[in-house]
Amino acid sequence: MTAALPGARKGWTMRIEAFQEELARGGVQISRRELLMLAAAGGAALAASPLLTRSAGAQDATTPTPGGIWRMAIAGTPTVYPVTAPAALVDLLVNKTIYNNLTQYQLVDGGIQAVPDLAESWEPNADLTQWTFRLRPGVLWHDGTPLTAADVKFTFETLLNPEVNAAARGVISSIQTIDAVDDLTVLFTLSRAFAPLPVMLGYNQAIVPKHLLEGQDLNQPAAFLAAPVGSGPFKYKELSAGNYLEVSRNDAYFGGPALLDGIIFKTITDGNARAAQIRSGEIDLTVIDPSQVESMQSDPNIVLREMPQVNYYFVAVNHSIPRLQDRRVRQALSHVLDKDAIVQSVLAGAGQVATGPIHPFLGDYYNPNVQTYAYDPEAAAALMTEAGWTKGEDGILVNAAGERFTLRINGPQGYPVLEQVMVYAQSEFQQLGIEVTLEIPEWTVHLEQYNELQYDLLVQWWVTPPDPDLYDHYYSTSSSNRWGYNNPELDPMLVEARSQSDRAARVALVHQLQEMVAIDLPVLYLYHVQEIQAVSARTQGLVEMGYRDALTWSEQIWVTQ
Amino acid sequence: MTVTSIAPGQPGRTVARVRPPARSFWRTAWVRFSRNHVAMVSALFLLMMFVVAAFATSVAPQDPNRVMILNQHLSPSGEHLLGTDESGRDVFSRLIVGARASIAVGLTAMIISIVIGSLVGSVAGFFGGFVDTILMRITDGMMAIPYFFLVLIVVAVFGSSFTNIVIVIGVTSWMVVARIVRSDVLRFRANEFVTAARSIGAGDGRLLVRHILPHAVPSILVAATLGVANAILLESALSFLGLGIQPPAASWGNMLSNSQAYIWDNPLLPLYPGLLILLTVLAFNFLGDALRDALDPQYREGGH
Amino acid sequence: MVAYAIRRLIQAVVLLVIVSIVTFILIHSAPGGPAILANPDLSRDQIAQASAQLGLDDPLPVQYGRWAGNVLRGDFGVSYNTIEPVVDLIGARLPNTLLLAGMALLLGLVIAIPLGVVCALRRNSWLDRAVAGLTFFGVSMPVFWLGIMLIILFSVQLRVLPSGGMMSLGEPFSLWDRLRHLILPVSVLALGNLAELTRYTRSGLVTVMSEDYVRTARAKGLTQRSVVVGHALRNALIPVVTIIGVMLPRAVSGAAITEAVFSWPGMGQLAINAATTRDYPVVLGTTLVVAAVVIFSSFITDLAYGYLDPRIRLG
Repeated sequence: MTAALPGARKGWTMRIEAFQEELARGGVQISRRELLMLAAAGGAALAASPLLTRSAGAQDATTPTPGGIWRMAIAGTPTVYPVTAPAALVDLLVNKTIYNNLTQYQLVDGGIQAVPDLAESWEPNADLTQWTFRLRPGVLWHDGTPLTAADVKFTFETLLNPEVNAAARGVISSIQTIDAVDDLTVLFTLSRAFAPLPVMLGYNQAIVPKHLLEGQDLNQPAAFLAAPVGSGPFKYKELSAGNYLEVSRNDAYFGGPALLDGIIFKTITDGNARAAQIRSGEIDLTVIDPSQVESMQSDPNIVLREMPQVNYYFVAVNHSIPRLQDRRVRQALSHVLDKDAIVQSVLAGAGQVATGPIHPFLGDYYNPNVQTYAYDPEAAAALMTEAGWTKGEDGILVNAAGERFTLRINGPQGYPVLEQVMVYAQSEFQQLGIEVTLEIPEWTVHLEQYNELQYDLLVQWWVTPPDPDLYDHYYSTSSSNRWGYNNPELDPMLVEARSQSDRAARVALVHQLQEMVAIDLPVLYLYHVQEIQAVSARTQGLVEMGYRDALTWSEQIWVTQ
Repeated sequence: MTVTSIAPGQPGRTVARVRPPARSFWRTAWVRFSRNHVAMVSALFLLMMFVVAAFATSVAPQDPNRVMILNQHLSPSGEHLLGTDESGRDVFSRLIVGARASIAVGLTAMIISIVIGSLVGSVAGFFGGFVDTILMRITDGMMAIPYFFLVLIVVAVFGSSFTNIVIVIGVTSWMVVARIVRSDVLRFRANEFVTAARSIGAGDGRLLVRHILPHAVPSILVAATLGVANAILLESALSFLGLGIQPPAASWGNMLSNSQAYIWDNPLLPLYPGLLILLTVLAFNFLGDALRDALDPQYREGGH
Repeated sequence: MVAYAIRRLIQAVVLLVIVSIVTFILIHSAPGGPAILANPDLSRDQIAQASAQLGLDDPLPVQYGRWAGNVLRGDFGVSYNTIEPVVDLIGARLPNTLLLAGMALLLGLVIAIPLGVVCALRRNSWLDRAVAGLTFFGVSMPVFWLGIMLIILFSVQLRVLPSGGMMSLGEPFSLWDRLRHLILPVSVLALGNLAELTRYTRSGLVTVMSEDYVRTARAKGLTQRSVVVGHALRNALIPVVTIIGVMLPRAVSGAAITEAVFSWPGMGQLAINAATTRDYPVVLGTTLVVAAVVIFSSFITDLAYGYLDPRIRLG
């Protein structure tokens, strides 16, 4: 469930990444039935061999050498307190090395699996409303205090406390009470059946130490922030705000001591500066823009890796605007956007054309045989004529009522890639005979426009969980449907698809849904992007995943001397 | 990074010069100016830029905003004299249209700052006393505010439209002009021809506009020239932070900023707008310097 | 002198109050609220609650009053984004920015004063014009462009200087290391100041050299060198001191770009990020502190001015 960094070149990208995190979280509505099997079967089975899972991503066969400091770029100053909002990407990256969740999950063959982290095993009751988690024995906080069920209880009570400005409450809102049965056993009682609980508990729900936080101001625990204590493979060492954060190896780590002596997270807000520093050997990992790929390919000191992300980029359509309510108009617009060309040039090949909202990564859920819109200006013009729009004297399309076809395309400031897509769309739409203006406001304003439906077209993306549930964004009355989209044919199928327990039947439904949205185009589907990592040649053992997930295995990273 | 190099005359050190801006004054100045080869070249260069900017849309051989997404980073050719950018747009045409945006930002911002500065400076100098004290306190206060900081915040907060950028730059850079104008007005207020004009019944406004302000024109001219240079640079700095002129419109600043990412693959791409900014700003600076020499011969000979 | 200082102090406080009010109104009247409240994942209830917790529902004058009251007690509030006290955030960055700006000014002076002296002594020579022309290049170049060029040359191609940051991470502090990190950003900033500093030194010296006491010294048969160094330079530098008072604020706020290019952990980046995410306490705090630094430095400049030129009587 990683979020890509779609060309966040300008500084202050923290908020951008925070948003991606939020999008990911907002989109997490994993089909419960689907996960029931995974959670019960997969979770329990894997609990038996945790070490196997943890080493699954090792990429290098040579003998790991311990020692050394590894440095990676982050875009802002992290907050080493995994409770309060906003949980920005910088915070998450750092906290992955310092804290543990009860579970963590892995993407295997297109399915999400919860695997043990602090919890050794877990099991639900028959109706999935009570879950018992057994903790790994002998886990110590960095200050030497044992980690117990009381810490877990404290953590979730804190996260659910309405007085606490918690970042991640949404995904665990079904939890009603948490009981510490004994030192190593926790019982969660839920308000309703919730199969994905083990998955959700692995989703940035880091356990924090009760003995250090109890009685403090939990929104702003000054003493704790000055010296954060976790249980992970690395300990907080030092933070120089706006400069760097350093963590050092926790020799008492329950998974065995990490190979590195420490990791330095270096704050570099400017994308060019990050690129320069990986080239000059001052950092070991950064995520780069497609525009920077070509120049780094020839650099012997840099390894470039493309990591798939479950996401899709699209042009949101405001369905409350009459001229956009005509399906033919939306199809025409899609016909003049050359998606292949965008992927090839703007993304430098690091992505693929989206045929719909489902990522090919989801295996059999993905339906490649849907209507697509190849670049075809003539077909587009024909569709517009069919929809009643003909070119007037000034070359702009006019309908029978004399209304000129104008459009405003919105997108957030500071995203070169999206800006390129926007100017491209503007140029192509203008060729079609539409008068197009661009509006590129800064981030918070962009968000407001999106939430309040204040746009005609708007460039946006979702980072989605690897589950084909489309209900949230496409159901007519869903609160996350911010397009004003309402399709009575689609609605009952969306409901059915998320409650279908038979996998084959669900696959068929999801295939059908993809065919329908491909024809109706609630949004104009663009592409799926991949995260491009630039890694120093000396880096070893960094698992091949998006860098956020790769850091869950931070104890395996090592460097050649 | 900024050029605001006209220091106000130090009170008490000003040489009282009576210098009616007669035709002979301008003629002498022109003679002095035309002997300065660097300045003449600069002026010619800027004249060329102005012409190009004024007729940008007719001069540009291609539609500067036409995106040909698969034609990115083409080498120079007959069709694309300077090649294409990351979106396959014609770089040459964008530079031409960008000239218009950059120079327009420079000139408009300069005019705003000159108008405000002249108004504040002349009113303060002419009426003196309490009005003067208040206005000059405000001027000092504005000078004390870290203005680039203010520009950043205002543009970040209210968005970076052409209007906003120009207003913000103008409103935060009038203080030097105000001081210069005030000291010139002070100097000429007491002159005989002013007294004479007053005696034949000229009102305050008329006195100020017809008889006093013209004497401040040379100083204002110099400040204006340097102000344009300053504003062009400022727009490019804002562009670097993503707060400059917004796409699809081209300005040298945003072209330079956008092309930074391609500095390795296509080093010529950032070179063109960078060079144009450098040359234009340099030309304005040379011009301002030469104007100062020409209009204020005492400057190069002595202090202020 | 004391009366003068007190008057200036009162003026400074009034100015700071005005700056803070202006900033407060600006940031609150901007479209879009704090980024943390724009999170599409938060329910409307959660947003309302968080907004109330932050006191954003009160009328603006009440909010301003509360903020100002806290500031008087030394409490600048807590960043919405990082929940760190604003005082700590600023405390960590202000010295870095001052170091950068200060060093740049110093380097500028070290280069500009000799240049200015030479130009003044050989007024209107080819050397004089060449120096004026060359220093103009420094002010006419977009800072970030120059910075990136230097990084490519010295960090990536030659690999002799670090491309950014304040120190080599993972190594103990050393002065040499800090200096190495300072070289590029300081050079870029200093280059921008060179033209003005040179010009002011030059014109200051030209004026002074024509004054009576210098003529007298020359008439006594003193060498050019001792006349310049012993008599003229001190007075010639008075206008330079004035211009420093103008340049320091510019250096502090203008360093924002240089900071971004060289990943220098200074005030500029903090302020930009805060402004774009509507982190109100940080925006207000940084603006106020930078304004205070600027006002204080201009105060110091004025005092130095009085010290250098006894003819100027403050008051």
